[in-house]
Amino acid sequence: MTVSTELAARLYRLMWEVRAFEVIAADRYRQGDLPGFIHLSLGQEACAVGACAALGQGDLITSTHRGHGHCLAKGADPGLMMAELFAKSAGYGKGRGGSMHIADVSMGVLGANGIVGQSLGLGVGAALSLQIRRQPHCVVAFFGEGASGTGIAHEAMNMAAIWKLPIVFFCEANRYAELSPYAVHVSVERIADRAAAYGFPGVTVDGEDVLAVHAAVTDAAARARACGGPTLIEARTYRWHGHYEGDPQVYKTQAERDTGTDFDPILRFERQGAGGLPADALAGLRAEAEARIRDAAEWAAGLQSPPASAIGEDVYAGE
Amino acid sequence: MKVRVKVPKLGLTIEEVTLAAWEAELGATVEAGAVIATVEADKATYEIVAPATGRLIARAAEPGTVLPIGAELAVIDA
Amino acid sequence: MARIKYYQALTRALREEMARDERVILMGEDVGASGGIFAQTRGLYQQFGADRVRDTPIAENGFVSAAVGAAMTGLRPVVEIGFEDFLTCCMDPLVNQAAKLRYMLGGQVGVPLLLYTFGGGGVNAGPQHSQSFAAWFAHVPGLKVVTPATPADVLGLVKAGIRDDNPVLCLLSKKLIGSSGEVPDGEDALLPLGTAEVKRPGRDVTIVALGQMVGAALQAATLLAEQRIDAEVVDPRTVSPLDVATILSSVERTGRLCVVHEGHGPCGLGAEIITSVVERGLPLLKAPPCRVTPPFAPSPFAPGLESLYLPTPASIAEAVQGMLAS
Repeated sequence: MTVSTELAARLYRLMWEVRAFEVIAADRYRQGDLPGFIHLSLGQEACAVGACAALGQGDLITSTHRGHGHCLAKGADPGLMMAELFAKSAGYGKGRGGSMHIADVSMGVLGANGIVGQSLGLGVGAALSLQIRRQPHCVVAFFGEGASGTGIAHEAMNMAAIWKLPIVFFCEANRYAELSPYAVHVSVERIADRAAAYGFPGVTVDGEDVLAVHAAVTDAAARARACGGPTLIEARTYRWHGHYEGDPQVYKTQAERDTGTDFDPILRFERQGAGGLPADALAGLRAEAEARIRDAAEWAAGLQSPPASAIGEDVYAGE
Repeated sequence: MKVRVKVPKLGLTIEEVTLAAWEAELGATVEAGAVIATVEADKATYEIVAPATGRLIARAAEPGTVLPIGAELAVIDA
Repeated sequence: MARIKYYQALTRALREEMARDERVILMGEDVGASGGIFAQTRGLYQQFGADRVRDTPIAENGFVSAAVGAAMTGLRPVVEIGFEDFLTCCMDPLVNQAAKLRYMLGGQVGVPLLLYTFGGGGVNAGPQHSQSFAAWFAHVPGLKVVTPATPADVLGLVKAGIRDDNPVLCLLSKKLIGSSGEVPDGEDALLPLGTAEVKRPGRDVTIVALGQMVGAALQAATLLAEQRIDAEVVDPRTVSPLDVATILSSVERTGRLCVVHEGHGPCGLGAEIITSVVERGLPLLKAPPCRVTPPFAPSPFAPGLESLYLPTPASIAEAVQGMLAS
């Protein structure tokens, strides 16, 4: 697969931004700096980055509880994201949402979401809005194999097919849903096969291969924008960490825990030749990405917490 | 035998209808299943059919009359 | 003024607001070419087309979620749920999404959405088609909830609800669908949300009633007048936000409070309304307040049982007489 140097650099830098964001978040979480709970996407960088790099500014995404990568890859600011993780006023949600509710509407990020499956329903609504307003854009609705078993996944895909909406259903099958493996949640070997039930294309891609993901979403998004209707993309990927940080992962074997991180989209991209980028360029991109995230976290850590008056703000419009 | 024709129940929330027209003359012989009147409810029109073959011996209201569900509309001497 | 039916007031409100603002769309089961199960959307599909009047599959969770997504991205959807009971199938998009997105996302989005549905009993529809869930949704910050009792209230509250920038639930009474009343002319017959109306002035007791119970309360007031008891009937019209000031000022005049609703008593709106009055004005009360609600059982199908189940003018009058005797 050929790739321009410019795109290769972008993909590589973004994957390192996602990786660094999750690593720093995990570290800060262990230190007790981040309240609540967080769900990390380490190992899944190629999905978020490959998919979002295929989108334009006017395209929209809906995301999940494991959404840091999607938000970053679609252009959300890491400082404002970190600020939300640190529960600061300056965060995207003004410290009222947290890790699972990061949105940047100006960048087309309609929000991570804490309810499994709603990313599909909200995504269908956003696609409906694009269709009715005659906007030449599309929506990518991210979800996991756990969400593939919810009722709303079926409802959303059925509606999107009936109405021929400009949407790409992007399933990150990361081998686990919550604390149980794929087979506990999914009746078929390939989630993409389910697209046949709705009469639109379903494709399975290697979720370790950022170029394959990028190509699949590029095709599906073009089809969606051209009024060709939805596509279901299933990316086979792997969740390095547990469902949440602190999850003892008793459901993973020792062997898997030892070798799980062999599934590494960044190393894979390097092995693929990284679009011809030389080693020093790659090192520079990596350093740039890591510094950007490190600075973001340090900046966020020093911000003000929300004042008591924030409790009642933004409950209703016009108040 | 006198067969009484009532305004039928037409759904959960319809409580009355307006008699739109008679489709059979008083004293005429009507076949079971023939339309003898039309009624209107919430802008939909419904046909009232004869439940039995016989002579139409009573028409209980004039067109334009509002009738509750269950009211007697006509009598057929079967 | 024109005299129209309750459902026609809904159709008129939808037609006027869709004509006024092209961002307003209508979604729901059978709202399109069929004109709706109660003829409530007749003509809208022909006037506004399939894009803006959209029949949905039977998938309340999915299409309400989709309406929320559309509301976040530039449209102002109106959603029909045929029976209020089916709101249980779309609790998540209403409670976890529509109500909270503005708050959780730091004010970046609004969810300008109006959902209307037909609830309540009195038509022998049985336990899964007769319920009243106003209290459930009045419990959720971020939602507004209205309960129109007359065609004029339907017209004014639906129009105002569509123009409101918040998610609004309009809980209609299906027993009232064929009822008639005067409505104002003109395209701007809006009623402000959050404003109660004194439907009948009186001196001796305040009866607060919701939805179709307003009619029952007014009939009870007529019965009570025969006993020389002068009842004031207050219709909150909006249960979230609740106009406590109007209720309280009525109780200031009457010193007695009776609340009537179709929802169940425990943790219901009567409990909330009485508590709101007691917290602010306990000394105003000459007698313990009372509630008239259905018994704590599902709504029965048998007509004889359902007529015993729902509050009636007689049972409301009896409760009020008991309060005055104490």
